[in-house]
Amino acid sequence: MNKTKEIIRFEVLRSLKKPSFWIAAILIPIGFGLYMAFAGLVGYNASETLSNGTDTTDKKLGIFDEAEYLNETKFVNADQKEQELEIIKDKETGISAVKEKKLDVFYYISKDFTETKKVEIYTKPESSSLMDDYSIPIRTLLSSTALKNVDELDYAVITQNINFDTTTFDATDDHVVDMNERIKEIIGPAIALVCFYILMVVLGNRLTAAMVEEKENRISELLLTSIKPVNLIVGKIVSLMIVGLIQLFVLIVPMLVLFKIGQNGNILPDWLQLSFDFVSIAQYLLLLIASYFLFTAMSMVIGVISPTAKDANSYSSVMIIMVILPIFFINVFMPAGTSALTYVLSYFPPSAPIALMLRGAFGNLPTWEFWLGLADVAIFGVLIAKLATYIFCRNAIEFTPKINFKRLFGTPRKSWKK
Amino acid sequence: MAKSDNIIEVKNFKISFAEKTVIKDLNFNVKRGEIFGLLGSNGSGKTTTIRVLLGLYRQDKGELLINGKAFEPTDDIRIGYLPEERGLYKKETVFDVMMYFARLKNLSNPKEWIMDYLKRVGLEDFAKTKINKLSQGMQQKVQLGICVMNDPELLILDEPTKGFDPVNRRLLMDIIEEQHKKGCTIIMITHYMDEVERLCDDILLLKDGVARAQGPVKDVRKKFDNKSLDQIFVDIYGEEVEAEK
Repeated sequence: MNKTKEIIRFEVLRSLKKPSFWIAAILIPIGFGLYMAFAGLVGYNASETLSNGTDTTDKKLGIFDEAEYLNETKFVNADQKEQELEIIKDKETGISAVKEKKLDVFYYISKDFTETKKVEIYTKPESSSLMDDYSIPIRTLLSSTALKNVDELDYAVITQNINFDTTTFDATDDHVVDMNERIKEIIGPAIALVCFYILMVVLGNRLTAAMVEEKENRISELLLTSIKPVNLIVGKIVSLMIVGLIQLFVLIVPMLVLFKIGQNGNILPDWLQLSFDFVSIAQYLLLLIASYFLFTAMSMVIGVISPTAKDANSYSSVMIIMVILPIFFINVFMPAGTSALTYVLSYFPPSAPIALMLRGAFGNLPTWEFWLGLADVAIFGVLIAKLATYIFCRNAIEFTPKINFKRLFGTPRKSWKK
Repeated sequence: MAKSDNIIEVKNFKISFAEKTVIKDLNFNVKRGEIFGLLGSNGSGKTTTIRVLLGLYRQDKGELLINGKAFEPTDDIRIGYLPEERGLYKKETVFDVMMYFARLKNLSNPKEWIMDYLKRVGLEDFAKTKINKLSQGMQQKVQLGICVMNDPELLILDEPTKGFDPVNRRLLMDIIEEQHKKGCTIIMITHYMDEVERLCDDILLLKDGVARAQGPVKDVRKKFDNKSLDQIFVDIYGEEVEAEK
């Protein structure tokens, strides 16, 4: 036991001493956060532009209404200020004014507008942007002109000023779904999924490299006269689990602190005003730990059968594909898409972690299935770790590049079977 | 229970890999406190014998005992083993690697021992240097330090001087002799017959998995008309060449 403790201590400390660990530990979450923030910002700006159009506050706008459809030329802009379109005497003058930058935007409503239902917009921005949309002022003016001809109810319908009360029934048992409760349910599996993904990215290669290291550096023989292979492998598993948990800690704690500060300062956006279901979070934390253990054990099997880290990497790629397989079949984890494949991927050990987390996030994982899935992941984790130990006992001092399956499954020294 | 005179007993040992029989039927003993030379050309089965003795491989037949029983790392006996395939954690410092092994071997004053040893072998300024920044010879000194740090009762050295310059070879021989004086039994695999003549009490010369010469050095030489060990080695391995001619 003391020797296993020494291995754990050595492995954990040397991982933590590596700058690459901290670079990965800190930069990946930051990179992930920046990506999410950037994606959110772009999405927000795009939706703002799409709903409100490009801000015209400082723009000079002109119009030639040949059809004489509009009954006014003033509208309220994005700044909530009244802005007026300059009347232009003809189409050519308007276009020339835009070209000469005397006008920023020119609207032309042709004589046959009632048939073509088309408004021409001319603009010449400093830097062209796909997101620019100058149609809002003319839309506003056209709508207000049209609305003057309808009654109050029609007006409400047209302006979408109707209140809606939606009742959603659950796909499986027809109970009414409380959307706030659904969001609470999603948080646990979503956090587990993100954390598992980050652990795979940050520690995936490290796991196999750690196992192949003794063999690649020819240390196995020197070590194995002082310790049993089982001590070495248990020490490795535990230390890699600890390193993974430290990684999670580095990831989660700053996020929780920021969230708490935001919550206390009341500065969180509406969509982040969350309440948590701590039981669900604890359950998925268990699944995350079991999943990481299974992933560690699978990486170790690859490490112990491979003569070098380079060989291990090619096997790791196959394993990673099996682990992320559920992402390619995401539809089958939604309530409406449930099929035999859902269950195959949920209980096939390599794909089970992500499959179960996805089903949880989609509200398609009954409690009994969650526990069954957790047991499946944990039991296979233990079995695969035992397999790694079994192989290691036979392959620890095989330095040839070819995998010798006969040797792998031959008879080891009696004492190593323990 | 009184300890036997023999620290190692090998009886009717046989091992094969795939279709090839590496050791056919080997019997030998190593007496407590002696320096034993295990000799033979490459592929004669020397390293395999040591690996089976240390439980790294399993024999097909026979018994290989250390202190009367099959070896396990949890045994009380203090063993130092310098394997043929040897290396260290390349990205760790000399001190960290030695400290790791010192803890695994339950050394009582590891820090003091490590610094004394590094000073002795001229590596005191390299304690905080990463292993991969050391020359091959320096790395071998670190490996030897790891082998002898627990004052082993049994020291097994597989080609210990391979790649050493004469100065360092002498230093290493001194360390081996020092361990011997402390009462350590030493098994040495080497191709340098001058080392064997200088250090070894008994030898075993293996060829094709069979013992071709065995016993105290002077008896073996007597048996071969007082030829040097170098000449005896050449004669035994030359038989094949002669036969082929």
